[in-house]
Amino acid sequence: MTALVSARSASAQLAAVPNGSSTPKLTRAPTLVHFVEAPYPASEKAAGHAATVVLELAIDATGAVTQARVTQSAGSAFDAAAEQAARQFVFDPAQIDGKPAPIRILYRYEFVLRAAVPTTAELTGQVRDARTKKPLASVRVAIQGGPTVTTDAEGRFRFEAAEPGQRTITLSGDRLTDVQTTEVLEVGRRTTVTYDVEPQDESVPADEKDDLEIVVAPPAVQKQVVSTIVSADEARTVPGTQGDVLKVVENLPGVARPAIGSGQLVVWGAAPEDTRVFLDGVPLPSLYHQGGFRSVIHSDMVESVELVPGGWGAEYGRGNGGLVGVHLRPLDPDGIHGSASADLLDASADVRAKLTDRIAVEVAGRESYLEQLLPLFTSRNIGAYVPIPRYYDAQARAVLHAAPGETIELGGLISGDSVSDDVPSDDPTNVQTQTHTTSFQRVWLRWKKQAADGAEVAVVPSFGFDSSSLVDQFGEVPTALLVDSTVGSLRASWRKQMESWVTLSVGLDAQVTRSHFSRTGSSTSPPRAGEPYVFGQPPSDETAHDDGTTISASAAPYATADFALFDGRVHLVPGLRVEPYLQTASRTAPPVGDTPAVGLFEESTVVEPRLSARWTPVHGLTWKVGWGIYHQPPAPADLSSVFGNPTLGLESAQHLLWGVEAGSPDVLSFEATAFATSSKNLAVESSLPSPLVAQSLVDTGIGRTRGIQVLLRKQLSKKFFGWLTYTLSRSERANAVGDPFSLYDYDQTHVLSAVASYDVGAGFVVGSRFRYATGYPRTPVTHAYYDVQTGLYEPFFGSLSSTRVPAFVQWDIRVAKTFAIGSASLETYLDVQNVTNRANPEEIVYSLDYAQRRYITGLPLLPVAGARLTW
Amino acid sequence: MVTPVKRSMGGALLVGAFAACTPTFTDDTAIVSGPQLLAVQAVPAEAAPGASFTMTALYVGPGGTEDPSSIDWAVCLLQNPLGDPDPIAPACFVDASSSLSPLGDGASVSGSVPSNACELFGPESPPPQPGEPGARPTDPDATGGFYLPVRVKSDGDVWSAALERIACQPSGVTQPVFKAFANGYVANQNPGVASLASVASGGSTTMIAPDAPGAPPALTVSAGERTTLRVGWPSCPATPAACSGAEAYLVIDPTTKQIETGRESIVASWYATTGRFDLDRVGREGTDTATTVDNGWTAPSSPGRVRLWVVLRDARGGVGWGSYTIAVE
Repeated sequence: MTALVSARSASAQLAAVPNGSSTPKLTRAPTLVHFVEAPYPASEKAAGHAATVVLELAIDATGAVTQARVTQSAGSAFDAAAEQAARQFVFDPAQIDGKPAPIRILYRYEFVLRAAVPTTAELTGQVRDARTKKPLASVRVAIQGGPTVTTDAEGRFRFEAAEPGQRTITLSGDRLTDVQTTEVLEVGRRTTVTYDVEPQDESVPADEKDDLEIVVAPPAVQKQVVSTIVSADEARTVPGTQGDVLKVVENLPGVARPAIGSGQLVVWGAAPEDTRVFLDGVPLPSLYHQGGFRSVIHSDMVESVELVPGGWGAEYGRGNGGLVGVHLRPLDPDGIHGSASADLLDASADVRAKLTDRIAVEVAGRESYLEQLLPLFTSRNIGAYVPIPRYYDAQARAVLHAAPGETIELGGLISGDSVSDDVPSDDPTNVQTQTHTTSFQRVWLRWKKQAADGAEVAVVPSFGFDSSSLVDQFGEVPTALLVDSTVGSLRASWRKQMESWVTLSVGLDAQVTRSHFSRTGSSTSPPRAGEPYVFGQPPSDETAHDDGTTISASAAPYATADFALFDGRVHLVPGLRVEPYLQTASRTAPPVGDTPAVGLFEESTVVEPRLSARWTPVHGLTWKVGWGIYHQPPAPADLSSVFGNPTLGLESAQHLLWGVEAGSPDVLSFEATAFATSSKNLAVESSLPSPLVAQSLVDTGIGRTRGIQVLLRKQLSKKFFGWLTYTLSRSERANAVGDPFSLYDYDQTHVLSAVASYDVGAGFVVGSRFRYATGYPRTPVTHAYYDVQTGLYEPFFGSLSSTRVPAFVQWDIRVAKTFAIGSASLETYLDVQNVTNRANPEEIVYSLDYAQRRYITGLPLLPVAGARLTW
Repeated sequence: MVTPVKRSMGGALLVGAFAACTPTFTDDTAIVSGPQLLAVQAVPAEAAPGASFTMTALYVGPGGTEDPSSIDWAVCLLQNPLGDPDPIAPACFVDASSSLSPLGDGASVSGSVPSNACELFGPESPPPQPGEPGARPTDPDATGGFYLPVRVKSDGDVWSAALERIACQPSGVTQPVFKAFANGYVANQNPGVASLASVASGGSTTMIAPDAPGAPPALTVSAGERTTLRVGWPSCPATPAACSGAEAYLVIDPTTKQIETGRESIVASWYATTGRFDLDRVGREGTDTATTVDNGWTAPSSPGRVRLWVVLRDARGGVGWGSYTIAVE
């Protein structure tokens, strides 16, 4: 979806001033009955300026405006537009002493920049001579059910507000025989096409003239069979996100509510590590900072975010869960623009500038300061008891418009997190220190071009580093897990509409990840998903160490064809991805004395067919189905010869989904998708009491998820947007084929999320969010035994994942007010989470002897105030 | 006493980051309200495979002593699954388990460490099956120790686990390191309570004698009075040597596979038949060379005799205790 900026007027009548009456008793104020919207001055709109013009209007006894005079100027362009519109107003006249009478009033005309999801589509393109590739002027281009335009001297044409859907395009001209093609136009999207036609040679006799050939560029949209896209303008006003656009993902269908402070993305019951995040094709290790309080990308860089919970196409791989795509917004056409915002947690800023006609740049950054703020409110060393998240991120990019239809972008970003916690104790076996730091960096180059033959080509190489460090000490028991990775990736794609009924996409998706891991401590710490544990239970005191280097490399050529059949009512999209993997581990067995390490090199090739189909029998109703096979390499630390297994193979998954879409996004749309995923070759702890050497993990695990998700959505229009999502699912795992399934750690039976936002006028926007989610499964402690050696109790567990944390229910509200300050705009907001102050259980805890069980509860009513200045 | 639940661990840190309310519990494990096995002392504290050992229970009740005849002991030869954080396999707590080797009943039992204990519970792997790699050895604890599990059942169905530290040779190290360790390692000794004293507000101390048959209470306090108790243990040399305090010991660093010298931490667990302790457990880290530690105890509001026990535990699994009687007037 494309976020558009449009002008909107609002009025506020001020005190009426009787006009020359000696007995000015106003018995009825004039009422505006015919409003004329002023055209938003193009220059001001492009510059992102909002304004308020105050006019004095003279209204005669018939209600007509006889005079309009600016009393508070906002600049000549705004003044003229407002004055011109106001002169066309018609009022129900004022009454003085019960009779219609002339009157003067003050009228406030507000030009408010606001986001709007369009109800129309845009089609632009160029018509060229197929032989010479020269543009053809004066070609008439007609769109079915719409206007006809004529190409300019450059052969270009544009339909700014075309009706969405499959439309027939007709080209005609003096030297052309009428020719038709079809385009599928989607709401809010621009479709750019190039038509190469062969005009008739005037020197050739009419009976010898060839038939016309038409070459069209591929549709700009490549919609996944099931996905949800939210524009930045919508996402920013969702309560609970504090204006962070990407946090809206947590409220989308198919996404489980993350445990508090985890920031994990659990999609369709898959492990968070199985879901992949891409920034316009650049792989990122995470979407959020630790704790999930903020995303790692500045919101003002984002145009939209897309969640594909499963069944994605052949363009992507190396993941068995969902797919999150973050799309950067185009840079402003001119001027210097930006934003600055601050709230309780952090401050951030974004600046965009056009340096030349062809080069634009953007820089953004954010840094948390809660740690610095706390001393202002308390003298206690809070950080010694409560972990305080510390994070930063920064992004920069420069875009060169190398040629029409060709751009080169150089970008980079950094992100870092640190959370530490010290728990002092008089008992040396209970002294705890914990530090968890993560960071990553990326640089990328993105070259995109629309070729002369209409094909779209994109090449995106990227390079970066990921680092994660978890260092704990529980009494005398250490736990350390450090992973440093170097990641290089290359995505190259070529797309072209070969015929009116088929679009072909081929590409290469390659990635090399070299990781060095170091792990010290117990095999049980940190615990793996699917293993019973008790929150706060001391880790096993068995201590080992291993470090090593792994390399995972793959280069996957892929191809996808989009067949538009039966006049585009049926889209059949088969895809194929062939991915050879190379995987190395530096050690196949634990180190013994001076014995040299023996490494491991394994090669495997996987074939991943993907298929999706969409059938639109009538306008507004689409049936869809998708299927695909997916693989992902094991986590680097799982290849440890001490804690894992260097021979672990690829984990695989299969996604099957089917569903229906109905309605129109700008009015009301409904989607329902049933899904079933299965996975195998999952790394699980060996079930042997004494595992074989270098086989602490085995790849016998299997999993399955079944569910259905529904989405009822009203996209952003003049005043309101909102959606209601509900996901019913069951995610299970087993250690091996034949073993009983048990609920997976990330299973949530019911997840309901309702989001609404309403523009009440005068700069006020109010929003509300309601969430309900089943609690995560836990393995109960049935009783305990006494460890006389330590003097502590140890738990006896009941059936695996046979109890749950109670359900989460929360209602959040958000109120925002935007002020126009000259050419800038200041938004202030109050985001109140958990307005009912419900004590939501987040985790089960037990007394020291496990005789009592209670819950850690989540955040109480939490108001977060913030402000955002844009210019 | 109120016991905070916060006993966090790796991976759980962030859950508590912005949690609003962490509950507290009122489980006062320091007050003996029924028959209770407080501690087990193994002698020797560290035994080689094939060596004999004796385990003695500190089994008490509200009246002070309890009949220990109900205590049932058995060595459990089951290995604990790798992914289980507990010190002993859950399957050991099944009476019919064929992996149990009974040691007998009563307050004190004797047995011997299985000759293959270092294969079952230590760093040595049993011979591999043809065509298969050997079994993964057990990882040592942070002090380099391995333990023989002993299942204890008392009072019908109350389960406990005791451990005998096994003297196993290190594995995965170079020959020089192996030799140096074998020559320099000193087996663990049980700690002993050297003294228990009442500390007045001015700093003066009154020694409290341990229980002796027919002896009167060693300390008299007023009802409801808070007393600071100080337990002490012997001072040990900085180099490895047999000592009943916080001993220095050799340990193989799991990362470098080189020998390092560590020092035991000492934890004092406090128990009484009534009254209230400030803390259940207090102690000294290995880096802390002090040989005493204090704890507050508030006498009950009604007069009577109170039995009090202090159990010392060192980081290598050694255990020692003292029993005392206090008169409340």
